[in-house]
Amino acid sequence: MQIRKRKKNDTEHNEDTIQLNDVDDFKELTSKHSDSKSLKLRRGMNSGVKYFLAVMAIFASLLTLFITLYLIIEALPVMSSFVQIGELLFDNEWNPKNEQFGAFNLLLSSLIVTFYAIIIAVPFGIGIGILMAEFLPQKARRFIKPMIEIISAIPSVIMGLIAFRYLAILIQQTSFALGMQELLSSGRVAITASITLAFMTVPMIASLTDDALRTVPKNLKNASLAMGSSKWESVSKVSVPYIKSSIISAVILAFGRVIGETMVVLMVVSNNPALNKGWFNPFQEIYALPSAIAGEIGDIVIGDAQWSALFFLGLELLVVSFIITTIGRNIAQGKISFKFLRRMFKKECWQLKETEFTIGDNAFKIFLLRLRKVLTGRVPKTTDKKSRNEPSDTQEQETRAKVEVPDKRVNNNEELVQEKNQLKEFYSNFKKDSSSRKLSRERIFKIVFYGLLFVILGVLITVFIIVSYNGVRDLWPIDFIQGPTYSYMQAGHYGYLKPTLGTIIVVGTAALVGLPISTSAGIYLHFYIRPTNRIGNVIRNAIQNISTVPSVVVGLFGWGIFVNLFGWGKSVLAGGFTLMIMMIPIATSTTIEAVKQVPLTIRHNALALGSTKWESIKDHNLRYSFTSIITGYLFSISRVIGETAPIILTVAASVYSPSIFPDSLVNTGVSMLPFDIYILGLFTDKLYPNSFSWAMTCALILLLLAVGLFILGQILRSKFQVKYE
Amino acid sequence: MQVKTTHRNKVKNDANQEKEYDIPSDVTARVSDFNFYYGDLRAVKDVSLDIKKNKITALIGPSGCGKSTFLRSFNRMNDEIPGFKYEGEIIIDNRNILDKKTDLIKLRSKIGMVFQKPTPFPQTIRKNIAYGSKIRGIRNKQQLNKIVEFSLKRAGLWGEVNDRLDDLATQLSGGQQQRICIARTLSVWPEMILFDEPCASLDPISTNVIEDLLVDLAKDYTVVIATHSMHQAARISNMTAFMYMGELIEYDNTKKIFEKPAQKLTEDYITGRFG
Repeated sequence: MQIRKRKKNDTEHNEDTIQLNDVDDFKELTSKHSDSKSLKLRRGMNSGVKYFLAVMAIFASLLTLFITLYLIIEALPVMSSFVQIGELLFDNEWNPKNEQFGAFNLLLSSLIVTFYAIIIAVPFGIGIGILMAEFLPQKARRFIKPMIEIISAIPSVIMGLIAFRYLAILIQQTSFALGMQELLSSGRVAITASITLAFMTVPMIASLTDDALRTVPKNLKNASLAMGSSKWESVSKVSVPYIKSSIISAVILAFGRVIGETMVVLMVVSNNPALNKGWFNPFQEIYALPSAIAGEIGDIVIGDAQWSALFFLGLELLVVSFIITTIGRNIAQGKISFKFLRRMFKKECWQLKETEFTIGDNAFKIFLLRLRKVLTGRVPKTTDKKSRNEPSDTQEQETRAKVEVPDKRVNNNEELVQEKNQLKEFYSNFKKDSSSRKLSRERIFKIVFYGLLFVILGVLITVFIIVSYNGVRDLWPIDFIQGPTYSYMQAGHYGYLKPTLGTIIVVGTAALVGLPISTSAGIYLHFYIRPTNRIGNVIRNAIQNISTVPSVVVGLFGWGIFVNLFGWGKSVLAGGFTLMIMMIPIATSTTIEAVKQVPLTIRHNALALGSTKWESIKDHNLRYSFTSIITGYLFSISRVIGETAPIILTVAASVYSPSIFPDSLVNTGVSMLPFDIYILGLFTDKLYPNSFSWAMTCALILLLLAVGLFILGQILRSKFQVKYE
Repeated sequence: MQVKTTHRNKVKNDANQEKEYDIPSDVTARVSDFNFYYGDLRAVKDVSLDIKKNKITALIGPSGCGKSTFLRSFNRMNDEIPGFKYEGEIIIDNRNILDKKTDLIKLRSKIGMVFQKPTPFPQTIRKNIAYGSKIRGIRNKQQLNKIVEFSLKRAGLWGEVNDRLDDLATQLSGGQQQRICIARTLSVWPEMILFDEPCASLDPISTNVIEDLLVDLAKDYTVVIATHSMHQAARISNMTAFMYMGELIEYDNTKKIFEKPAQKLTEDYITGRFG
């Protein structure tokens, strides 16, 4: 091969010619700074930032531990012995006045509500998810997906109030009209709450299903389509089985989320821990764990038995939702498979062969062997190696010798030709009607899915109409300036400036404290900790686990620590710090998602130019993902702004309190929108005939804030995101 | 082996005193007994060679032969990979850069790198080129402009972009983007530039332009290029190293490698019998 060097064509690059003294100038210019003092500074900055980020990440990760430890410490008095714990867990007599704290029925109540909510939500969620990912036209999808996601931005207290005022009555009247008074004498039963919760859960399951379906490799879909399957067949036979574990985990995660949901159950269902109508009857009054915590904590003495019992309930709720969520996550990550469920139905797994145990084995050992077989599908090793079906070397050689290499090009095997013809005939008969049947099935499923979608969208629009109609009905413009004093309320009007300001102040405090912490933690976790690092994974999981803590438990923690222990009272600071805890996991994960989008090669290029790690992160990842990070902030604020249970416990003031602006950050209650919705919604019409429309005006403002932030985030995300190839 | 042990002892006895390596002045980097591990996988095995000053050295071999990994060891970019491990020595400027104490920032400003995929930062052209100088603390606008102009001229791009320096660099064509990356690397005046398959994602015309540029750059810089195209190596390089399965099979003048290879394996590869 010849070697030929290209010569530079000077006439082409006239402008690019460089004089020799230029080169020396340049050398001097660049070398002047390469060893200057700034290098020390830069390196110091690099490690300083690293330690700062690490401290923030560790602080965030310790929160779960703090919460759990605090709950255990406070619950200790009632669980001093195993007998007591057993009574707490399995007795079904909850009567705090007689110091009877059997919480079994409370847990069961929670499970009933959640179970039926999920049962209702699953078809809607999965159907809409499949529809969004596979069948919706691109234009419609762009419009409908955010609509579905808006549902998750509706604060639960608003849904609770609407369900209490409308759905409960609707259900009661239906049951009366159908003549089922015996089954349902009141609408304030578990199923009402379940339906409401199901509506709120649909977007979660739908978007998880949608996301999972979008991860199905295109090759797989194309392969199935190329075999002549219809779109529906390729979705149902290829795509859905491919993401089966994601769907299962979505359902389980939804379960974990719903079981900690407080406000809907608290407001809709009349509390009755008796469970007279049987264990799994949804048409009865119940008393759920979160309701007990939020409802009873207002009127107890600090440090007495009931106080401890409530903390025990918090602990129980925390553990239950933690276990459920962990299972769900592990399924999503492929750490748990559902093979063992399938194995349990197989006979072979329950039968043990003679070789697997000796006669002397006791029943317990045999049980363990069986269990192991079912769980792992592995047969315990036997001592006798010959019993296994391993071909020996000589056998292998023999079989090899027998194999004849067939000529691929000639096919004179008559049997094969015959079989082929049979197959051809079979398929030609089969083809005639199958394609039309396929299409009709696809059409039916599409119609069903669109039906589900329209039901959900219909409910969403109804909710918006109810809120805005009732919210605007009795509104005076001056209500936005005037404070809600007693006399003003007697005159039939309420002031909205005070709760709105209060909400903004408290949530603003939470954001000011929480967002820097979570951004730092997110950056640290993504850039400074390798996925293989064990300690790093502990931190990562710990931060993620904060999101499994039900909001009422966070409220309980905030109430114990910030309100009582720190002596801040119900105040801006106490509420802000409590909401901050709820904000950290969301904002951390959105930060990680944001900085992840910038391709690794960009940072590598910066490193290759001699920038420090922190410089490469700051100048590139943070800079290019700035809008995404801000979007994440907006999402986390919109998620937290409607939280009610923690607020009831940590900030709420009397609605009559005179000053619009809180005088002090501590020991001064603040009026907040979610709390006002809760209180006003439960006022009887006799006391204040307009209280429901007041609550709805508050709800309208809150909805505008929450949904507005959410939509703003969506717009930012779609408009200003830097896109990479 | 002897060199290695004495070096270690020296470090133990007196950390401040530098070991003097006996390296001729026309050698920029001397690699001896170099091994690289990804976890348990030994990706580069016992490689020893000298990189000549102001010459183009090409690393060729089938994909997965470890040439990229080897190249990325010169400026320690492999440190970004979890589970990495170095063994042996790479001596540049009388220092073993594989030493744990090596200042990566200084090393990487001395040894530039251009990656396979053209990766301009999603900023303006001017900011792209000035980035390396800015992080080093050069704030003077005139100086920065001078650096930008010089680097772009050196990369042969000045004539094409001098009227739109404040446009986004990502809007340029692939070949121009790659030359932006080269100019960016030049802006900090490295001694040695590593090219990791710089033309793999470019069209033939852009490839041609970049090859011209590389030949031109070799006047002032030491150039090492990893390429899967042996024709490219034949066209532009002075020295060629053929690597296979992590081992250095042959390292010699390009002319000799392509005309009279000493090893059978090399001959098979360059005549297209495998790879």
